[in-house]
Amino acid sequence: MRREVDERFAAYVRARGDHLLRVAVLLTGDWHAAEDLVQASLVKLYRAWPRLDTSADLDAYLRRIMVNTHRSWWRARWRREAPAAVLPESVCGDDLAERQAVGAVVREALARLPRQQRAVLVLRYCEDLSEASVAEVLGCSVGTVKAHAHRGLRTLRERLGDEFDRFEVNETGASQRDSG
Amino acid sequence: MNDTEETARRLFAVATEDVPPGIDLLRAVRARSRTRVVRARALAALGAAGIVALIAGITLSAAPAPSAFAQVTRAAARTAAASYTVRSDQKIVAIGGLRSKPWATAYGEFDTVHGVGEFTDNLGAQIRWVAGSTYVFLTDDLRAAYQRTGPPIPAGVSWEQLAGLPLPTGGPAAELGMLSIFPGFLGSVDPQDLLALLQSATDVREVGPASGPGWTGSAYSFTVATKLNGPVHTPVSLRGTVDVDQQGRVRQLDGQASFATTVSQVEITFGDFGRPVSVSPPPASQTWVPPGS
Repeated sequence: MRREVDERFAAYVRARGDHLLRVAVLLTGDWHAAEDLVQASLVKLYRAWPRLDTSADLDAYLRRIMVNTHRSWWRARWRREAPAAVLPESVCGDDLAERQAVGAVVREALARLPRQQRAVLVLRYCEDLSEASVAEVLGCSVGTVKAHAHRGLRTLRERLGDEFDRFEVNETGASQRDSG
Repeated sequence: MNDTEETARRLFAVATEDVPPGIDLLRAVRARSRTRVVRARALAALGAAGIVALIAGITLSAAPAPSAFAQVTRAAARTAAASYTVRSDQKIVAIGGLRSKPWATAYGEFDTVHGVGEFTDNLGAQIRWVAGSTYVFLTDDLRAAYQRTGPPIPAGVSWEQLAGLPLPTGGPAAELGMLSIFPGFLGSVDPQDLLALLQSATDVREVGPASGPGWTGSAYSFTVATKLNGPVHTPVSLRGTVDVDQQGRVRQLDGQASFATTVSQVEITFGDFGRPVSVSPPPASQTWVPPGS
């Protein structure tokens, strides 16, 4: 029975691990912290696994573990965070390098938001949860979710400045970046 | 979903594209499973009589575990006496009936041994402790307060110097004459004073394990209710949870602090113990010493 549990658990991690890391890096701001957060959350899930109805929504269960673990356990950055007013230049204008640089700036901007705003943005726009579902995960009202989302997006837009505008979808549905 | 929300989705997708190679998510789970197996085999090898002897030996030789109260108060004193960095989220939820302030994220460095420290938040507030003085950045709120009550702030200055007001030692709260009011406009309490308050904790109870990057420990709930040792004897209370690591240091404090009519939510993470801290006073040309300070 134990071996069967382990194999099913491992199969779940292999199937969803990549997605969990992506959510975690938006919550924590860097990949090392994301790995720590996902591992810590998976240990908790593993402990509870024998009691779980594994036909249920495991993602929802693990999501709640990750958010609560992140709430009580911060991966602080033990240095002054300097605002990245200018994007780091890629050496040769390579598109991949530029996207990686943009990704780093976005993660840093997100990491500087208050924890609750950050959690709302990640759950709404990375996990694509409804406002009601986000409220349930975070244990707050839908109104609070709306307020956090509004303030978080506004702050993110202010901090990212030109980079946000470059990615903005214009009226025709094509991104300005794609056409630029 | 509107354009802004859709743009956020696209940016988050870009921000999560570059997953580093070689991440093994199952590593921690496997390690935990192996530890259980090793322990089970070791105990099985002892046999029943061996296990009884082992338990008896442990019981006779182990010192009594310190109480939850001792764990927390000692941890607060030890942390306050060291050098550390903090990152905190603070929100003033009520201030004499006025509208609450937004969440402020702050970063700080403290070295009690050398009496230097610095605390800065994302709303523009800054405070520095160096050379026996406290330097407070004159935010718009502070300037407005001085405009109402005086004295007038000279032109061209950005900081006020409170001479003879060094970094709080984080000693017992009974010695606190005032709290170092974080200059985000009243109410937010700096970490040294929070650690001082924690040493007056009552009703301390262990509530479970705690862990973080590179540390494990225990979580405790606590309550603090005291009065400052100043002329007004302002009531102060703090209640919440604190995580203490196995080296006896405070790692995380989440709670609600009440100071007079101001109530703040605080979530503070401590780390980087023993790290050197360097703080410089602001330029003298930008510094003002208020009369009577």
